Amino acid sequence: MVYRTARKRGVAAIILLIALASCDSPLDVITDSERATNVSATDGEFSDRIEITWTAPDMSEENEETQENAVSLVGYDVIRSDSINGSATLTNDLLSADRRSYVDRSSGLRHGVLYEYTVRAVFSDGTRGVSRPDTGYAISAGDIQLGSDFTRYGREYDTTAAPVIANGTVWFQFPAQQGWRYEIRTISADSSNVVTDIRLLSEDDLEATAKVASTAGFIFTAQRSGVHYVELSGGAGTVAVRYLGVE
Amino acid sequence: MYRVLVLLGALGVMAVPRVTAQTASGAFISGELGIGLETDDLVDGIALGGSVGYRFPRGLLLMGTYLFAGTDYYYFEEGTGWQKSPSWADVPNGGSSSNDWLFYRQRHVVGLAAGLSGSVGPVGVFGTGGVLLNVLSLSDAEDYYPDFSTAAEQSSIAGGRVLATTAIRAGISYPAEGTVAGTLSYMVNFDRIDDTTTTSYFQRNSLIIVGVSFQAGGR
Repeated sequence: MVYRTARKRGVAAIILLIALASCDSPLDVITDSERATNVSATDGEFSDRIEITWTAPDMSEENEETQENAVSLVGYDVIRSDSINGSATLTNDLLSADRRSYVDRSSGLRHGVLYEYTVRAVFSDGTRGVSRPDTGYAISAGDIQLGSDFTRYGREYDTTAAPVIANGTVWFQFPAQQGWRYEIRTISADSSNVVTDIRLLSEDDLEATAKVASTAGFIFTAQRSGVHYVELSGGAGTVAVRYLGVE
Repeated sequence: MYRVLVLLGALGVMAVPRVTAQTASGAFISGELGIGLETDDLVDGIALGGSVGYRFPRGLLLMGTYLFAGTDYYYFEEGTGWQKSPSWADVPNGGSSSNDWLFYRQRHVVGLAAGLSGSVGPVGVFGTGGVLLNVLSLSDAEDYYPDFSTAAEQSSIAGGRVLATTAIRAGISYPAEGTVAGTLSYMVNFDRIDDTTTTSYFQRNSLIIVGVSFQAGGR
């Protein structure tokens, strides 16, 4: 009798182990009604922060099935992880259920580091659903000096070297004066066939874009005073910014 | 700056346990307005700031002074290069406000002096001599616009960022026996400009300073 009971328990344990082993990963078994979706972190749009946005869980289908005990969304946690510091919850307090974004300005945020963000939805029945992750980064920009002669203060750029960030671009920064004209020029490049993509950002806005071949440049008028960022993609060489004064 | 001076003055008054005299020993603080007899490159027409000091027994006086001596704006023109503008109104600013202007320098006067004080009837008198620093501070744009930095330094009378000189100052306060008194003084700066033979030397190197002084503590 004792032997038969033990054998039944052993069989049950084996069946349970097989069942557990055949399960999908935790993310795969969670449906979109149980987690935030479309999580998106900014990729270098800002120098001082990373903004994370998401879509709320689709609760309609879930609650149709359980009308008597409808489950509600209580709020969100935002979790950041990177290869250096591991995983950490950024939100000290639960974000409200109507939030759809979070701005990561934490002191540990470093330019040029690729972070992975997940959003954890918390429900009234105590369950939690973790979103699929998205990566983001704040730009990494080196200082560049300006002169009225663009050949004087060039900075080497090489998309295979620092300060390269995750997507293989180089960033430089300088303060521009509103109303002044500036010229960005690649005064030398590793090959005349190289085309450098240039994007110019001020604060949060894209001010100008250009594709320039070796030794070519483009002139723009600063729309505001403050730090401007030059993003270079493609090739290697020397870039310089010169000022032309008020328009 | 004004709020700080008012606050410091109020604190000084509150710290006084009883009415004390401007000529008694003890600490004092004053808010001051300096008026340049002739505007030059280190001291503008008007300078604002104050002094703190201590009167020792027998009339010995030790005093530190700070005056904000103005802001200069610079601009760039093709062909002529960097220019110091006579005033903000003369800057070709392209619609930018002075708050958004990146290219400026500020002038500061910092002094440390020792001297004597006393009274003649209801009027307090004092005289000091000491070192005076003329200091230039440039905006953050100097890190990115080296030619601006050079222009802002070289266009000053002395060149460079700091010029150490000597100065003497003499003045009066009224009423001498009050905790609060108005002050009027004259300061002349030596060794700053090598043109003592010119008639305008004292005009270019002098400040008339008016202020309000609070005596804190003492006997």
